Amino acid sequence: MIYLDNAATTKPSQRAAEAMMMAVSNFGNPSSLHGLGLQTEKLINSARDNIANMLGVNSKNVYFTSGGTESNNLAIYGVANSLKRRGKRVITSTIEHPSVMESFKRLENDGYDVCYLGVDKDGIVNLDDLAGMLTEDTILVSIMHVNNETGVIQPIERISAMVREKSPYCIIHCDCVQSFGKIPVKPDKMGVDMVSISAHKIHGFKGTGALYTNYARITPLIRGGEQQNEIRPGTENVGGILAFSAAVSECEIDIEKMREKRNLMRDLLCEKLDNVKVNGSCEHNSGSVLNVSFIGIKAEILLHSLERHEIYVSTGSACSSHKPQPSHVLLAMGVEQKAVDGAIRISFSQNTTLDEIRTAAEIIAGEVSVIRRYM
Amino acid sequence: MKEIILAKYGEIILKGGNRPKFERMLIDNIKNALKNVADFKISIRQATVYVEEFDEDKTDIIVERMSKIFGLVSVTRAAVSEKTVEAIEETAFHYLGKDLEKPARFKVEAKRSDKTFPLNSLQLCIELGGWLDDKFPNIVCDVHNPEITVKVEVRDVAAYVYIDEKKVRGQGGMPIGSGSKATLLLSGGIDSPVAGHMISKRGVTVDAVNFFSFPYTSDRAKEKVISLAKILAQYTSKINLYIVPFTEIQLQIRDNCPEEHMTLIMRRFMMRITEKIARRNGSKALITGECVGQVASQTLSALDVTNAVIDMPVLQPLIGMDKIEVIRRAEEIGTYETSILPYEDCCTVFTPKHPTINPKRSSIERTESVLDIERLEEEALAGIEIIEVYPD
Repeated sequence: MIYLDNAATTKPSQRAAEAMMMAVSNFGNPSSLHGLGLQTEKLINSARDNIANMLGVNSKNVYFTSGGTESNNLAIYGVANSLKRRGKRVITSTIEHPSVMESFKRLENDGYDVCYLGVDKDGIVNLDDLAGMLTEDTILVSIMHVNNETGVIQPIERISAMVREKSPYCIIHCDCVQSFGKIPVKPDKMGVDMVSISAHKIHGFKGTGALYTNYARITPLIRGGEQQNEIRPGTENVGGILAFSAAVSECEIDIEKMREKRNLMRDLLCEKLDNVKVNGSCEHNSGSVLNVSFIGIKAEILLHSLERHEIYVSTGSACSSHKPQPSHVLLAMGVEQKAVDGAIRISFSQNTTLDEIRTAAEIIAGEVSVIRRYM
Repeated sequence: MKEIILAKYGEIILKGGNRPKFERMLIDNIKNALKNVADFKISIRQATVYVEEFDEDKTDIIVERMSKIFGLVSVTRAAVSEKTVEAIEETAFHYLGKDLEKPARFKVEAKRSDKTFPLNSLQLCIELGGWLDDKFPNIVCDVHNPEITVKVEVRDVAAYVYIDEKKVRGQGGMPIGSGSKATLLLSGGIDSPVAGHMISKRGVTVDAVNFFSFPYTSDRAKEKVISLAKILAQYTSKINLYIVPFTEIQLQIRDNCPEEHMTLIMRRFMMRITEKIARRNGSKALITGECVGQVASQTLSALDVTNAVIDMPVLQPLIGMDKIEVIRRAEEIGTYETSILPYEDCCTVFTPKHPTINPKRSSIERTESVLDIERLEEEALAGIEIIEVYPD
């Protein structure tokens, strides 16, 4: 099996699985007063410290959630609601993950003044347009770090510099689900106030994520006990959190190595096939995602052909592939329809080998040629 | 107070000498549909099926399952009463109390098949109606336009009380097993499940064949067909689903035959392969969801060309229906929502831009003759996956 759908999810690592098992013997409720509870609480705290350390932040500002979607929802509603008296302007981009886009759509219905920042053909947000959108009463800007469909890195530092200059009360949120553990994610250096991350994209388990926030007055999404400062109440997902921490410890951040994988795949495909189009900037890329269009084919047919060889890729993002609608990210980049129809996403993990990439490229090229003959 | 389920059957009553045989089939089908649901006792008396002694939590699901069994025209829950006027009144009071508290127009309908009961039907209506009117101040009697019809049946061993409006309509038709077997060409679309339902309603056991074009269609498309078969199996109890690998045949047609003949040649392959499966499984006919003029491959000339390749009756129950009527039926039997899921089925990938709409047998025969039909069919038959589909 050659698994090249790591932007959808990754295979949990052995150490993450072992950490998960620790929750079996350490089963006490971290909120219990007795020693058993305390033991679990300590484990959670050290997991939180470990993750905070990777982010270079104070661990009291890290809140565990059920994953990237919840972290994004909590950040966006939490800020919009708590700062609504300061202003109604909120800004996001047209290439965000659905959990961000849909949250902003809801803010739009609630009467907020939502601005959607477009991207250029390389998939990078348009900074000139951002300058025009920022006002003194802008309360929230949420732009993702690395796009899930193209791997393109957004100029977050420049964005936050612009925001700080023009919008004194603005909170900056950054969806780092696709960048955390792959390229450096340091909120202070990036100049952002909030960061969403997820465990299962870095060889942890599904169902655990976190939100870093230095702005502590956000309104919670759910109500309950006093866990996590009441910002995210509910008994912690102990196993998932311990596994998350173990996975973080195993992350190798080496952007050059990832880019080598992406470039190898790109070069092999372009060499073997005509009418191949790479979507998104190669220069500003995390290296973990290659989005490539084979003009003249339907991507889903290629996906199923590859499945017969136990090679797994995706079309668009996994969340939207249940319904056949063209990728909003590629459309926002102005990719033409026939390239959108033939686009697949190949995404790598730190464990993907160059040999796997060579084998997969060979098979992809063969299957594309067969499909092109019949379509 | 004891609650039971009474189900009436229709057409079976008309079947002279075979009636006991059909009644046995009906009982077996009901037992089969309920076997994983609850423990119960079942019997037939006076053209009525009695289901009793089940856990009362299961009543709703038993009624639901029985409403899908061919042969039954109605299913109703009823309270059992001793055969005295006082007992019937008490039972009605307790059993119907909730329904009669609110303002409503009501009437009583009584049926006395036990002629030893002291009151005749009309007298019982008057007696019980008057009594209920006294007990429930909010209801008024209106025999012409009632909102609630209280039914009393005085039968052989007991009397039964229920509200007629709560009776669930059954499927009608004849019990499965009474009409031998047929094989359905089941795509992922709206029509074929409806066609299968209509023929099985006449008592015919149905097996289904699906043509699968992986990777041009996905495993999700296959799951969709299995889900459709599952819904059909709620009515037929079990369906053997034959998944036939079809990609190679489509690619060969695509490579070697004129584009405008593609669909017809493909359909001829489907008919021939299905006929072979049907002969093996003991079917006496094929079933398709075709309807005159719906698409290019369903003109009369096209149907002539596709049906010409087999020597077995082809049942096309939708042949004269409009799409809107078919959709309504699909909604009624519960397949519509699944049918409209977007995964492409094998017909939509390899579709010519301008299909022939008035094909001649001779010209299609000529263009398909370049293919090694026998070998392709044998290979497809050898690759069949058979899935036994049961309702959930």
